[in-house]
Amino acid sequence: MEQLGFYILAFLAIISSIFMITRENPVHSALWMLLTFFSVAGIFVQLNAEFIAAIQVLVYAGAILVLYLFVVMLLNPKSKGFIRIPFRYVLGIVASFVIFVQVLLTLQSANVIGKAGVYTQEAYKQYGNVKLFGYELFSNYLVPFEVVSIMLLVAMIGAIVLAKKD
Amino acid sequence: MVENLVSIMPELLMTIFGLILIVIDVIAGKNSKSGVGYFGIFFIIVALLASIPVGGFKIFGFGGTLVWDMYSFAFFFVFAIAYILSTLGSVDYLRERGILKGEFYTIMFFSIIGMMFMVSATDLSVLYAGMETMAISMYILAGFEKGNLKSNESGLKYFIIGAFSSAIFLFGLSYIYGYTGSTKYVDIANMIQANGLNNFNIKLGMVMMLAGLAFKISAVPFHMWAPDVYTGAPTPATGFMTVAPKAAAMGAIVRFVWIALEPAAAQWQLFFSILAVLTMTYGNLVALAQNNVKRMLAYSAISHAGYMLIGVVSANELGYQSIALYTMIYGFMNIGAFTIISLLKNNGVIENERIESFAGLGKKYPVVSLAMLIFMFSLAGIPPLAGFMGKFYIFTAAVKSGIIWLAIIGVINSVIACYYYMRVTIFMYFKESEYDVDVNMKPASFIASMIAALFVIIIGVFPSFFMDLVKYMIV
Amino acid sequence: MSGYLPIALMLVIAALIGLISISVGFLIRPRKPEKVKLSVYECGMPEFSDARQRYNVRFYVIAMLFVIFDVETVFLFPWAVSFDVLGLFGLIEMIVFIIILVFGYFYAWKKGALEWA
Repeated sequence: MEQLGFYILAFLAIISSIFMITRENPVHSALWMLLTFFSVAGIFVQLNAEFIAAIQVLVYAGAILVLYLFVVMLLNPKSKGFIRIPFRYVLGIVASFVIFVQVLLTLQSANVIGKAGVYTQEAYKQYGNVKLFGYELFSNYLVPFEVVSIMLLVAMIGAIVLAKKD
Repeated sequence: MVENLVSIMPELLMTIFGLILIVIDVIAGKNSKSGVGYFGIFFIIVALLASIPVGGFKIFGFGGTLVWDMYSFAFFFVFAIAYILSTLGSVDYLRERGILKGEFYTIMFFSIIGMMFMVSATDLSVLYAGMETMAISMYILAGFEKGNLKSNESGLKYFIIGAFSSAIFLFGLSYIYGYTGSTKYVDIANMIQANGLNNFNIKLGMVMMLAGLAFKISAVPFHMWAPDVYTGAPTPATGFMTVAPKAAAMGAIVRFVWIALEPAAAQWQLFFSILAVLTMTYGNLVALAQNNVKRMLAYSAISHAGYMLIGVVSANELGYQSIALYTMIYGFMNIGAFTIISLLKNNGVIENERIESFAGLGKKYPVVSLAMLIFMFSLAGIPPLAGFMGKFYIFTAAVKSGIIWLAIIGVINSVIACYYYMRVTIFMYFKESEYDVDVNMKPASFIASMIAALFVIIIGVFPSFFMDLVKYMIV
Repeated sequence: MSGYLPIALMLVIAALIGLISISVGFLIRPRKPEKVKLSVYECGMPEFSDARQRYNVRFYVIAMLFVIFDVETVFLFPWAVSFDVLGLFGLIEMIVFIIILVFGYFYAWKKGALEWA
């Protein structure tokens, strides 16, 4: 049953991402990307990573996609001045083949040499993904979390200073 | 608890000062935005003085994710130099272009916090978060001159390629985390020690991570963004961008390979020695053909990254000390040179930064030309100036650890480099001026370039004092 | 895992409703095309320009601020869930995080990034 769910979601993700890169209209591409985000969120749920799935929907499907659409609308939609990269199909196929082989090799030699994680299935069942994630983030990964706030502050100042009329 | 606070104290102090800087920027009137920069200089000096550690001081915090020691402090010192000089050098340039905004200084200030986290990180997640803070600030600085298409191009190009390199870094990081089960440098080192490197995935992860870091120092073949970005960005921002982020990435690389990859020394030494040779040679050869001095210095910035990489490859204490010394010297001479370039104003038809603008400058503006001469000689590595001492220590470190061939390639490269640096001085002193060139000399940028020139001479003449200082700092 | 079955069912039903209503309409509606019927209109008025124009860059600033505060909210969520374990220390962490971003909010406000005019 879970296998079936994965296959459906993975198929959906692949199909929608193929549509995303082949559409001429950028708005259509963005909408296909939305479908990709949702299917990937579904896969995250199946991997017991509910928080990541929630982020995927809230941040990516919600906020980032809106930003994409705004950027698309900022550009002149009638312009046909797209740069045609020579051999783009060949380049694309080679690049995706390389990544495919890389993933394949990774899966083949999947022997984790590191120590096993603390959070087992039982802990997950007892506390839930979000709670464990929150505990880890706010105890062991506290410093990067606070650095992220500085990063967001810089991004905010930068966006305003670059995009605001003065 | 106290340990945690002490280990993060400098960054915390800088963050508080940065937030105050935002308030100052909001309060300051339209014509007094340069005050934000001056306050920033004051704050950074206070933070620098407040965080001087005593010798051999080393304190870990937050479960070993962060460390504050002499090494972090040495790099903080380099960032502070870069900040002070570029701030002083930028005021007049920005005012003339009508882009004198407080944000320029605020963002530069916050980028330094990111760089400090990069250098003092002993955990990959902190390293990544700091690196992104630095990178985002740099994208903004590169595209700061909104009305200038070249600056726009520079910012956009830097952003796209920088985001790409961050993605590669993160991908490699995920491999390393997946196969060692930890993001802490110490744990990674233990895992490699125990299990060796004979795993395809950990090798792949290492290569991708180091490639991501090599993007940040613009090492060949990960350099393609550098010339356009450095040329297009506002000149004082270029001065800052060629020094501080490079120093930060160098510090992070050294700390990472020193702790995490210590058991796998042979592999990464090979990786970095290839990068070093390619970077030096490519940067110097392409710089030979440039007629735009700003672009020439952009390529020379690439080649200087190659010299610094020799220090990484030599992998001994002298190597790491000389990297810190070199970045400091490089900060003085490069920001000084960029400050002078930013002052030139060509009233003719050609761009301000073309080499023809320098023709006949020696007679018209003797002081500025002398400073430029000092910077060029120092960048070329001519004794008794600071640049020579920096290179000398780096090559000594390479010889000491038995990598003589790399030192020889480095020396050959600095001989090649002499040609294009000398060309500028030849134009200044032996050519008649073709165009009407003004040097827009104002007190702030004059002070910046004079301080830089003074330090280039002082470090060159009394290198042992500074080397002792760095030695004392980095044990 | 089984808790997600209703959601999956709901998604399927939602997709079906859309598909069915469109296809039923397609099958049973009369088709008598004529020139006026096929023309583009907005609220009965004749159109005077194309809708596909460049948008103002202000939308971008708003969207960017939205993304940043969205990410901030996302961090609040696991913090709230695990607050009982984290206690006072967690509260201090979150206060520091929010104070830093409040400065950004203050900046955006004072620079007039939140105003439209």
